[in-house]
Amino acid sequence: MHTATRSDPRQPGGNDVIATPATLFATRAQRFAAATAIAWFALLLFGTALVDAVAPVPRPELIGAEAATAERARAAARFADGTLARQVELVQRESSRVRRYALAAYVPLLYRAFGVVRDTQLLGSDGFVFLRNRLAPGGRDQGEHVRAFASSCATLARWLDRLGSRLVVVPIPRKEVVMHDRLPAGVDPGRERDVMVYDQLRRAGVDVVDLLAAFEAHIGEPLFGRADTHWSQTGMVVAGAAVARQVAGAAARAPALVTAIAHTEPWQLAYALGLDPSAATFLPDRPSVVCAVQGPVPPIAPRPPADGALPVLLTGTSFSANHIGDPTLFVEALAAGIGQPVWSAARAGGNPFPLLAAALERVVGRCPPVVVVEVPNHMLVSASASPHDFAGVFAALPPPAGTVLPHGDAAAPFDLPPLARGSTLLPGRLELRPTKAHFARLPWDGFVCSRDGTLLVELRGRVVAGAAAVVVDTGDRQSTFVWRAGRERVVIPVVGGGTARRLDVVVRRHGSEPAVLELGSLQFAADAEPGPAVAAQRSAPAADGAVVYRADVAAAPAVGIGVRLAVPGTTRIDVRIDLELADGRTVAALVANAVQPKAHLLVAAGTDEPIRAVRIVTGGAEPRVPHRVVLLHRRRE
Amino acid sequence: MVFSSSIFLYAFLPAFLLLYALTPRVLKAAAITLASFVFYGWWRPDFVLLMLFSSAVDYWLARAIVADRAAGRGRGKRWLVTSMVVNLGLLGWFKYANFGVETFRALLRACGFAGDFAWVDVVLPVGISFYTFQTMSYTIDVYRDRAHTVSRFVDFLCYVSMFPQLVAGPIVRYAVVEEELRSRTRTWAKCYQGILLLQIGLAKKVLLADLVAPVADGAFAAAGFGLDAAGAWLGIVAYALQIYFDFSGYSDMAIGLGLLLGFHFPINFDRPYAAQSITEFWRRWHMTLSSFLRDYLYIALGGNRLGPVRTYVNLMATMLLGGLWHGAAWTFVAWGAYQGFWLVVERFAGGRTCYASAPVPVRIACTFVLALGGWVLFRAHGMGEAGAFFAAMFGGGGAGLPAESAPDLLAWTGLVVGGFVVWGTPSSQRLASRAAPAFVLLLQGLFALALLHLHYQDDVPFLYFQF
Repeated sequence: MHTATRSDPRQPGGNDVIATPATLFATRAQRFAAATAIAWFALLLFGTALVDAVAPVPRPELIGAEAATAERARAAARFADGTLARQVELVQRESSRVRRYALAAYVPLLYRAFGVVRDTQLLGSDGFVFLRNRLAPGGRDQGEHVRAFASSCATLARWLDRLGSRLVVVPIPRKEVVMHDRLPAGVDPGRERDVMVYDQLRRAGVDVVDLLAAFEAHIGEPLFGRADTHWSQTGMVVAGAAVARQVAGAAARAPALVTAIAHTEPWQLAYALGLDPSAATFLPDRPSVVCAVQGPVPPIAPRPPADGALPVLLTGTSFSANHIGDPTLFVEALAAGIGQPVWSAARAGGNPFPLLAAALERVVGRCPPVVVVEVPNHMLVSASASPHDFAGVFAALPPPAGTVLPHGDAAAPFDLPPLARGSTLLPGRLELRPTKAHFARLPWDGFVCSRDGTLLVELRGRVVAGAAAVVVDTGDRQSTFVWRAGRERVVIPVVGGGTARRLDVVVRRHGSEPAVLELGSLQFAADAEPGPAVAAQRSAPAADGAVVYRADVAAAPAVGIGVRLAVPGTTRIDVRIDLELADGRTVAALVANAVQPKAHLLVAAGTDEPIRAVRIVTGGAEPRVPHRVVLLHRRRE
Repeated sequence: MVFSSSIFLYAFLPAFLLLYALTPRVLKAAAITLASFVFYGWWRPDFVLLMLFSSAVDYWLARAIVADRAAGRGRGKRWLVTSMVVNLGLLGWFKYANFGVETFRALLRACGFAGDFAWVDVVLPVGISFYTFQTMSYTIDVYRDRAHTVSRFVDFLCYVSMFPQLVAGPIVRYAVVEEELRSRTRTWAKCYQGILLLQIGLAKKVLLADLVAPVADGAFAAAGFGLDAAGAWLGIVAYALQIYFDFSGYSDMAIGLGLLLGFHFPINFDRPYAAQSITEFWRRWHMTLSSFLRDYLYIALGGNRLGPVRTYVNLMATMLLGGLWHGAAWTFVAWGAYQGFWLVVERFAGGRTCYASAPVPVRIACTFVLALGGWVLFRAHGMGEAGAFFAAMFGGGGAGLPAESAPDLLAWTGLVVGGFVVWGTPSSQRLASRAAPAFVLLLQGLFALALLHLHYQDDVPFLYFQF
């Protein structure tokens, strides 16, 4: 019989088991060491387990693409394949109080002693740390996301303008672009992607502050923190002055500054020791220069005044409400520059548009003279999808009057096709269940529209229990508003840039509470005034032989063109809409393949020039057919 | 579950140790088994069933062998063969099916066929190589009359599934723990020694293996893309340190956890890089696998009893299969052949290899360099990468690593300290058995630092989980 041996471990063998000597506790020193080791082991493992179980910390609030990815992972987690276990591990790590506190001290130590950063970060020259995921492009459709964002901003600017308010958008260039000279050699920050943001916003007619240009005028200065993704105090002041110049124009004043060398303060010591629960990854730069705006600074308020005129409203992220250094220096520089008080609704870790919606809902009936929205560019150019949803902001504003578009009314200047069969979002009492959503669908490819805010979705009714999520779904883009009790009308414009070939309005339960919606009506409207309908006449064929119809319209500017096709049969067709301008130029308004032969088209004019004629180019339809064309003009209110 | 994960250290282990202490003696095996299923099922619950099946097969087949013998129906060879077929069949399917299909596809393509038939990749259950060897060893030992059959199925399940050594060894033969499965004591001395080994293992893994890993990763990623000779040598030395500290760290933790449960597991590493020949290296590296291959394969093939030529063939065959056991790839086969070649050379030369008569430090250095050559094959993703890496080591690479891939100060610290630990300190088991007070107190600091660093990095699995 084979027997295992407990032999001297120095003798290699292969079956020699570990030996437990009898002399482990022979001396007093050994007994002390043993007691220490056992107690220390128990304290670290059992103590951490106990503290994390009894007093977990809140998990980080994710936003944008990260939140979407996390939600997808949560939804896909299954017991059988171990993905649920991964989720449990994630929750345990993220909610560990010991981990949170320990890292607050350990990470700066590693960085300062060894110059070491995490895999997700990149160490540049002069101690500058960059985030790798902000270097990489978010995806193939980045340009499309940015165009959609710009188009949505343009619609918001139009709504605010109608209320006497001005929208100023402040995209913040990425640290990787501004401080590119501190990146390791050969690393391309992709500056053109930030430039694209400013270009697209300008092209859409949005009042945009080009902070990239403002920062590049201060190249060489430490505009961003070494070990933080946010701008430094110098950056805050430069940015505040640039935004003030845009808001106040010639009246803007450059803020006078006082500077001092930073000293360690008690709270920073607590932070360094890991006693600050809000500790971020890195300590602030030490030694550093502390700036302060000299002289009286107009008041900065976290909430609006109870009555009277509202001040300039600022909303944004941790750039405007920075948690490292002086949390209000950027806002102070802005307020000093414009010489007016500022109401700051910005929040670290926040998404500027839900914050803007929340701010506007607090002052229903009043509107700030200027709304400044700060948006970090990385949210637009390094995320797989734009995290910005404007639905809540639009729903918080008084909607435009709009022109209701009827369904299937040939007598109307412009109408919509009837709702697709099976649509269940009909007036009446709707019990919203977790597994069932109610929807209204305009037939796919039977209604093609531009997402420029001209088309409005309007729901009337009331939520009598719980909360309902109203989703305007145009296929590749969803806009969601949470409808709660106390509101009887919701208007959401169809925004997002480009053309939509489908449109669903979906209402589902929001949250886990049972929800009931008493829907009074659902209708679609145009944020424009349709002109008279004009019949399109058969014209000379195009060079490629395609059939061309031409409608001569009163030479006038228009925001949109409504076209109702009347091609016989059921075969889908390719269609192109060209506009002939008063000066003789031709611009393309729409190119769409395989649309339904009797589709309704509502497309953006995309020009301020007067339009003389609309040409409809189709690939078939030999008999003369009655296509109809309508110009939609901006309504004057 | 991974030993170096938060869920293990701060949830599973404290909860288990508490429950285990409160469990009556008669139920302790069941408690270990249950906890082991949770530990294993944490990765993929469905594969617990596979382990149960494998265990049940060998439990019943071993009993059938004894029953045959008792009834005078021969030695029960048919049941042994059945066990081999089932175990090697499972291992073959889960570990080598994808490899076989890929090889078949490559052959088809070489013959001018498309070779693009549909195939759903088989998922490799973690630790199957280890627990299959254990269940097989039990049946073989019973057949060879070197072990008694286990009477309670739960004890056998406990032996196969015991979480400390389940997924990456050491490979514990049934005979080694047979007595302790029936009856074991838990003493403060065992507990203390177990804690020390667990702390040493975790520190090795987190503070050494994980710190030098980026150097090796960077070098292999750059093989064929500008890696120069200095970078290649640095990279392979880093990998040699990484795999040693990673695997021996896991083994230390496993042995330590075993002691906490009252078991004495076999030693798996004994300062392998201090070996003075490749033959000695294999007596010090992954000792439980070496002895398994020696006892169940090399000796079964005839060992050295059939003349020198057959001895060389047996050595080579054993190492080739040992290489293939590590993974289904041609690089592992080449690694096995490389090791087998040096074993044959040393055996053929007797004490007359070119380095055998050199001073001890030179012999150690030569053996280490030879081991490095093997690690290139072991680490490379494909023979092409291995070739490019060898080329870089001998000056056929490029102009150097990009600045971004150069080791940082922390990695350099890991390399220097790692070198000191490898050649300047005793083995883990010796340190834990001596328990010098100054060392124990230093270890407490290192343990805390390892836990702190674990919080910092996301969970990094042990390398040997893939085998």
